Parts: sequence; structure tokens; C-alpha cells
Amino acid sequence: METYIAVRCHGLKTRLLSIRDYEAIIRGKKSISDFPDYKHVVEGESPCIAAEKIFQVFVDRVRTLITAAPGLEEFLRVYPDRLEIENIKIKIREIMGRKARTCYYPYSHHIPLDVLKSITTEERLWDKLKDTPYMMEVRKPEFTANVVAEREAFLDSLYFTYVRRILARYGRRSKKILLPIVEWEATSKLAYWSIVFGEGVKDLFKRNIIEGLQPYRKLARADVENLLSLLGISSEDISQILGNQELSRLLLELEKRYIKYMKRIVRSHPVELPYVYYYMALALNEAYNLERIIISKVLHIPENEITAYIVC
Amino acid sequence: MASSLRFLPASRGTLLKLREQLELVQRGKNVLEMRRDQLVKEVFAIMDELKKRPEAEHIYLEAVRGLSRIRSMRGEHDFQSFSNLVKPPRLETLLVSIQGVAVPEVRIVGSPDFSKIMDPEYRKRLENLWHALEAMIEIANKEIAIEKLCSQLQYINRVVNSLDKNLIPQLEEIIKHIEERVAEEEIEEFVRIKMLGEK
Repeated sequence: METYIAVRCHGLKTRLLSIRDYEAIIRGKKSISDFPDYKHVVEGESPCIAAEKIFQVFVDRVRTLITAAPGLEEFLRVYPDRLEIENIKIKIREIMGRKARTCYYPYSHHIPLDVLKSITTEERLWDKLKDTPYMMEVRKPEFTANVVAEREAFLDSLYFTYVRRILARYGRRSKKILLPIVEWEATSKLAYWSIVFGEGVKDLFKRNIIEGLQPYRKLARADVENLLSLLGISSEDISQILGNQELSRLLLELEKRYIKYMKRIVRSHPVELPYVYYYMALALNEAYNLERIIISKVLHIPENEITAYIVC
Repeated sequence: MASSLRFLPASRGTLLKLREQLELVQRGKNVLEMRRDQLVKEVFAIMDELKKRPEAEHIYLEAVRGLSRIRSMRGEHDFQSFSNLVKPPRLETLLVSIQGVAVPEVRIVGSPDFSKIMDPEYRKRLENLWHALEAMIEIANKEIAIEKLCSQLQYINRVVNSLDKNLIPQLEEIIKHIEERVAEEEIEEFVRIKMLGEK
């Protein structure tokens, strides 16, 4: 079954957009709706609606895989479950913020989207989360009042703990290959939260808020510079990014490096589960790329700048 | 006015009344001219402050571009939900008096609260945008003040011109006419009395 689904992913990967396709969309030579999977995305509609349709394509692709290999559903859902975590973050910002309507990713697994949307208090949200595998064996820590970022960091931590637990069920070999990929991403999240909280990140560790983001290698110094250099960011880039607070650029750079890192690892395991994980990362990345292109076009961002936002 | 003046009786009483009226109109014209000068001075003073507009616009556009870049790089879901964490500013519009002219003015009652946003880049960009908006609001207030003062100036100019070119010449002309008539009547009266004396 694992070999079959990996081979299926090779086939599905050929349908993903290439850098040339992205460039054609950016330069206006092609429209997103020219591509069969995205034919329902209408140019000029609100970015929120367009983004929802784009992410729906990713969700449909995951569904195709689940239909092909129902026995692997748990594994196939573990990567897209990050969208559910993002939806929970969106809900938390909504509850703790202005309560204005916002857009959600069209994906749910452990908490149905309608149920999540209907939640109006933070207590109710955590109660709901306690019933899901994300918070299995994890106690909700005491958060500082009104610090939304602490809750978001905790959700990231929950997600990576959950991913490790699920991957552990899929054989020692898959776990051995996939774990470094998961740890790489967890480290990049930790680097982000270290920038956001600065010295306060040590306190988050003490309060068990970001336990799940703990670096897989014991680091002599778990500071931002060290974490970023571990992820391959040069010291000049680190000082420039931190000096100018260019976090978005850093996140893009980390995404690019993450995809490259995965590609390098799965190259030697082309018909195993890690390749399926890699395919899902590429498919989700395509959705993010198209979302960036749509917003950039609406905001009249120069073409060469949009091209720099593409992660391939 | 001109038609009503034409039928006035040519008497000393009318003459006195018209002279008083002319004096009042001229005094009113002088007052309006003084007010016009004051308003012009005020407009020029505000115009000096409007010179900051290109710089403020540049800063505003840069702030918008900065935020647009984040929006593109982080995606719509992230951007929209982050903006949910900002407590919006409180603005109110009230009428203020500039040289007696009622001018609407936007006042910032409460600044936006970015304290819930901990992402340093989002926070920096949003704060930049707010500072740029503050400057733009200030400029918009000045622009609307100039617009209102200029429309008041236009009105005063119309009144002064009407007094200067219309009413004052008419009054002067009719006073001259009545003066001549009164003088003629006096001579007639004098001649008549003289002739009666000779008889």
C-alpha cells in the first residue's frame, strides 16, 4: 500500500505547477483558471475567496490520496492537519481580538470547521481541543493574559508533538527518514518564536508552552543565531534579517530551504512514505504560492518581486 | 434697489437718509475687505503647512507598500487574522471655528492598540502605517480648512464687488441726482419769491 501511494504521488506530482507556470501567471501570459485544477478560480474575485478555492484544491488532492489508501488516512492527514492548527490560531486571534469575520482554510479533521467557527470563548476552544489527539497527554499551561502569541506557540508545539506521535506508528524506517524533516521544521518554528519572544523564549520552555519545538540535537546555545545557522542561513543574512526585522523574508527563505532539505532526503526513498509527505508539502506549497501571486497582483506588487516570493 | 431708488422723492430728508445709507454701505464694505484680508492671511498660513504633503504622501505610500509586501508573503489568512488583533483607532469629526468660519475637523480620540501583535515585523509595519495615517489626517484637516476658507473668501469677494461696482455707484448717482433736484427746487423757490416781491 505504501509503495502504491508513493507511486501515485509521483504521478500526481507531475500535475503540480512548475516555475514556468508561476512565471506565466505572474507576467499575465496565463490565468490561474487556465490550469485544469484551478479552472473555478476567477480572476478579480476577493483574495479571501480565491485563496479558499486554491486551498480547496490541496484538500481535494489529499482526499484523492485518502480514497486511494484508506488504511493510511492517519498518516495522510498528519501534514494537512497543520491547516487545522492554523484555523485554530485564526480562531484564537478572532476571540482575543476584534471578533471581525475572517477567512479560514477549507480543511478540518479533528474539529469540524463549522464547530470551530461557532466557538466564541477561549475556554470552550481549549475544552474542544482537549478532546482531540493534539492535546492527548498534554496539559494546557498557564498563559499570560492577552498574549495571543503564547497560545499560538503552544499550538505549534502541540502540532509537532502530535506529528511525532503519529509518525512513530509507521515503522522504524519511515520514522527514521521523516523525523529529521519534522525536526527541521520544528526548529524553524522555534527560531521564529525565539525572534518574537526574544529572551522570553526560555520562560516558555520552563512553562512547557513550546516543549514540542525542542531542537532534536541538544544545542550548546539554543539562541536565534544558532538555530538559524543550524537551518543553513548565513551569518550575514541572519544579522540583516534580525537588524531589519524582515521576518517574512526569513520565513520564505526557511520554506525554500525546507523544500530543498526534503527533496534531498526523499531522493533516496522514492517509493516510500516520506515521498508522500514530500508530495503533500509540495502541493500545499503550490497553494501558498498561488495565494501569494493573487494577493500580490491585487496589491500591484512588481512582477520581479512576486517571483521572489515563489517557493519552489 | 436701483428701481426703488428711482422713485424716491427729491427732498432734503431723502438726501439725508441716502447719505446715511451710503456711509453705512461704505463702512460695511471696509469691514468686509478687512475680513477678506484676514482670511487670506489665514489661508496662506495654512498653505505653508500643506507643503509637508508630498513628504507625508511618500511616507504613507512606503508604509502601505511595506504592509502589502507582508500581506503577499504571509498570505491572506495570516494577514486578515493578524489584523483582527489590532484595536482600531477612535476618530471623531467636529466643527471648529477658523476666523469665524465653521470647518469640519477629524480628531484622533484614541490611537490603535497594537499590543496584542508580538510579531515584530507586523507590528513595525502597522505602527509605520498608523504614523503615516496620522500625518495624512492632519493634512486632510488643513485641506478641508482651506477649502472652507476659500469658499467664504469667494462669498465675501462677491459681496464686496457687488457693493463696490453696483450699490455704491448707484447710491452716489442717486444722491447726486437728488442734490441737483433739491438745488433746482431751491433756485425755483428763490426766483418765485423774488418775482412775487417785485409785483
